Amino acid sequence: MATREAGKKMIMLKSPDGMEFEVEEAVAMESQTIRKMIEDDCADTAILIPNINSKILSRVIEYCNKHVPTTGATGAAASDTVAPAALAEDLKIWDAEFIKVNRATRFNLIQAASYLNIKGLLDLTSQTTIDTISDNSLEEIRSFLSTKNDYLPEEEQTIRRENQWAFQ
Amino acid sequence: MEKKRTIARQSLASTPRAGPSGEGSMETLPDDVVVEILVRVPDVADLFRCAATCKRCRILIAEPSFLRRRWPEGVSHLSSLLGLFTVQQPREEPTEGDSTAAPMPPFTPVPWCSLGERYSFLTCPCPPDSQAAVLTSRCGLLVLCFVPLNEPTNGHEKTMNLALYDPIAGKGRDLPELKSDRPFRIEGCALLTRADCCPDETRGAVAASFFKVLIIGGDRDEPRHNLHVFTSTGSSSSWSTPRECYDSLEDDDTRVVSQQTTAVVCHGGIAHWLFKNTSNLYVLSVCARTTEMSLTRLPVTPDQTQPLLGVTNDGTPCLLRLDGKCIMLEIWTRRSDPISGDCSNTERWHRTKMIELQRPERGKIDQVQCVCVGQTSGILLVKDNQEDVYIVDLQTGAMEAVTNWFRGILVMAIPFEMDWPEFFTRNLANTRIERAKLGGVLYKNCWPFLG
Repeated sequence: MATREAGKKMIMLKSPDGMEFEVEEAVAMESQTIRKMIEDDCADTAILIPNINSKILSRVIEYCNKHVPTTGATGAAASDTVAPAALAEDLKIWDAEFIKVNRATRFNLIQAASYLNIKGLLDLTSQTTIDTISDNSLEEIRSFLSTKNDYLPEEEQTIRRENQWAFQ
Repeated sequence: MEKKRTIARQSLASTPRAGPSGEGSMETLPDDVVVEILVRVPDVADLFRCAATCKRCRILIAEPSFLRRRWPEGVSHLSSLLGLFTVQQPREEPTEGDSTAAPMPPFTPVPWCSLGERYSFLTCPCPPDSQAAVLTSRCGLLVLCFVPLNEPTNGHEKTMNLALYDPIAGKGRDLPELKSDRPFRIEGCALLTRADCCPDETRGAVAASFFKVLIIGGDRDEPRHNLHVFTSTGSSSSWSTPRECYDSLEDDDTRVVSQQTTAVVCHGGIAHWLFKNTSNLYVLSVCARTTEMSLTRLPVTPDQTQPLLGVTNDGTPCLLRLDGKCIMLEIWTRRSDPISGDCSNTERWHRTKMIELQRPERGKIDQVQCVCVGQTSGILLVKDNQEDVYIVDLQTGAMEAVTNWFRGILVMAIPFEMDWPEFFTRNLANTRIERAKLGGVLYKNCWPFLG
């Protein structure tokens, strides 16, 4: 492919707070949103990523760096020596560490993953949120999701009464 | 080029932004991101509780697009099967002739049932001195028949007492007595909703109270069946005059009997039952809208494995047939679904699929019989001559031994399946809630016809 022959093509990503991140095109293309821009030739210079601050964007890039398919010089060497299963296991451990963040950061990551359309990151961040939900009471779910209860007490009573199966 | 980027930026700019206090709160996330989280909630009860956390979640979850994404159409969802209403016999002979000593639980939950412990043994209401038999189950509702105890009528009666029951809400409604001047036995039953009967009309509060119950009665003395239709429109409800289901059969005049009481209801609102006599299998079809009937002879001969009717993922009826050794499953389907009123469309049925069954490693499986088929969960329940019970995945042919689900010997089973998108719609957005209307009273949650 053209990019590989020319060495690694780099893309500049800019966060709204003015930080610039130079990343390999392959890494940036982990985001389907950016991939589309590149494929449509919209990404000749820097791409502004609105609404994702530099702190979150750097974490997203960190994730993409780790998850980019291992092609190219270092990647080829790695896949020669490490079995794919071990590689996947390694990624899983890495993901588990990566997602040990506070709720605010996790929600920001979900939003960034959704906007940038990075399926793996969206799965990881959403799943982590859901894992905190399972088998918890309504109040606990509210606190994990950090939503405000806007039901009137009698409305909530009605829902609970008529759907006891879900509130045991 | 520049234009595209601007659009992307605008769409993000229009989403709510996290304020200093709202940082890390779900309220700051745009709807589509919240949907991404909610659609990944695997457990149905968890998802329902999420809907109860706040009104926004409730609206997002009740959205038809969300429900379709969570439960895509055209595929089987194992989670729709909650359990089975069964008839079981004690494994050991009852001592001192006391057969009522240990009644078998009528409801057997499947291990993945989302109803939890409390609903493990769903009970049905019952008048004194009678026993409730489940005739059919659809969308989480049951049609029950109350059979008097200690009356050896072999199921033949001139009067039948039926009820519609929602075991999850614990609400029911008696239907008017079904009377006939000749003793008959219920051999077929279908519960049809407004959506089956009037697929084109949009649902509203009044429309929801509309339903039909079809009963196929087998005459005790004559080799014939009658169709009884109960129609409830909300304001009026009554049983129709019975009509004969078919004329005398030209090729074989031996008695035709039903193979499964529960109807298979397909897309387009047509209820189907499988019948057989000594030489042929037949499908009796009744159109929900017009109650027009037709009997189709199948190009399959009856055998010991007791084939069953099911429904394919695209909503057409199919015949499931096993060989006695349980090696292959044959699926026969009908090409199109017209109601023609005669037996001439036999040639529309074709064997369309052969699935090799993945039998469990150990144990000998011989002389299997089909017991029942889950219409939305895509499973087939079979038992062998050792009274061992297995479930068969209709997509993959994978078999799993499930004998330990049942305390006794399984005689009969009716799957209790939930159409979850329909259930969530019914319980969260009976009338479609608009954001502007929130803050008012909650909508009545139960189906209006259950009163």
